Amino acid sequence: MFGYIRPDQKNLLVKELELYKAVYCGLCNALHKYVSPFMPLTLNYDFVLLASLRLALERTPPRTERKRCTASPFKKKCRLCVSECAPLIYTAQASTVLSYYQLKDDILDRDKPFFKRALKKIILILITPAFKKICRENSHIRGLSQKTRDNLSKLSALEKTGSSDIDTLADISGQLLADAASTGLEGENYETASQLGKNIGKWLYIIDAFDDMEKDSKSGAFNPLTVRFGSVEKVKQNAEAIDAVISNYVYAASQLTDNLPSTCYNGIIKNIITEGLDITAQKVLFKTNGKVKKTND
Amino acid sequence: MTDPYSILGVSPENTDEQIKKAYRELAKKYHPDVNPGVDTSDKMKEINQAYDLIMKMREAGNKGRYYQDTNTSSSRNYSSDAFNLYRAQTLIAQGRYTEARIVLDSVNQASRDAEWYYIYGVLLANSGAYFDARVKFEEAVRRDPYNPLYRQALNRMSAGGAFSSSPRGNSVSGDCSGCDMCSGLICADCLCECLGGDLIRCC
Repeated sequence: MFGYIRPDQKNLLVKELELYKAVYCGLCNALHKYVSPFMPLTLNYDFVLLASLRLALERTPPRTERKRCTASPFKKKCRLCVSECAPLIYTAQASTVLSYYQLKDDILDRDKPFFKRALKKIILILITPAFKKICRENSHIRGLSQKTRDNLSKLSALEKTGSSDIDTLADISGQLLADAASTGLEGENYETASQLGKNIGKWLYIIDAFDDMEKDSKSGAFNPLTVRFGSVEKVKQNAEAIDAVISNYVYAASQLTDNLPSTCYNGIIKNIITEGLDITAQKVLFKTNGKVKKTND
Repeated sequence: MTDPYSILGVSPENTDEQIKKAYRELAKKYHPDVNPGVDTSDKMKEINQAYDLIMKMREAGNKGRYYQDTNTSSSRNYSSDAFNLYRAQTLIAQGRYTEARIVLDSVNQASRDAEWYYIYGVLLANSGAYFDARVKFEEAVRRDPYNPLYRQALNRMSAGGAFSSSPRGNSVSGDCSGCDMCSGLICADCLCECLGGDLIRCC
């Protein structure tokens, strides 16, 4: 379900775009250094929002460096310094937890092509020791892992019953991102991060369900939208209503961005929420530009 | 929830006038101008809320009594249901969604009218369950297509957010910009001139 949360690059200032790329590279570096050398394989754009959010909430000054790396061995790239940058390290570890459970879920999914599943299995085997290590060493991450596991089992239990209560399903799914965004924070910051994560998580759940609808109907897998509206065709007829409903999540999230302390990351976060999410939604719901590519570049 | 009557120091048997009097006395007592240097804003808020609630409940009770004359069989239910709706609204305003849900669920199936669906929709929308909220608003509009409040709520659900957390139509009905005022005056002037008078001397 990853890869839907992107900025609207055309509407970013040049400095914001540079910062966005620097956060991406910094996060990649943090995954490499603090989790496992294989972790950058699981990196995607969704986690950059998570990282920016934590960087903004913890008011981290953007210290950057220009270095070569495995992904770009010839050209030096600007990236956030990862040493002593707690938000980046946290995001790297939290994203490991999310990726770990996502991979575990994916390899059980018998409908995926064999070689894809095999690839995911290999990545899972490669990152499992690192996942166990960070869980052992960091009590926050251990707590997050516990909560994520609980919520996922709640979600799959509800999905097994074929529930049509899409709001509850989205709520549980949103809680995954809420926990990932807010663990370790306190007070007002906790509240902001948690609510932001929850609304974006809910949005993500619906968008993902819509995008996977046809695939699910072929394989007979559970899809909350198909159950809710009756059939794939009916869901498509109701695309505008769905768009209206999920824009409420985006609206709620965009209201919450006003609670962020003013930092250089706010531009990125606001752009992703107010513009990036909508572009993805239009692409998915109305297929304005073919199917959204889910890339991990 | 604290009993609104006990906040004002009155009993449900008192008349509207007596309650108004008690409210005025308390409001005078805790008015910020009378108590310089003491923060009485919480107390004032409490008193105001209690008074508003009692008045709303009484208004609903009167409506119930009106129905009693015409439709004796369901009179009792109606009045307690109206009370429940108001109670639910106050709970929603206070952010106590679980309690509000219990109150709304306790309204019996037969007397669930457009307003019930609307309030349930507000509750769901405030707690983030937008899919079900939309269904409830649609039902409210279907049952009472001419109520602008219900229609507005449904439109707000469809127009992408902007769903305010206020439980009952606190929305601004229309902006009045400088342009609107000028064009209004010019129109009025034209109308006056038609009838032989004049509003704006120079044109």
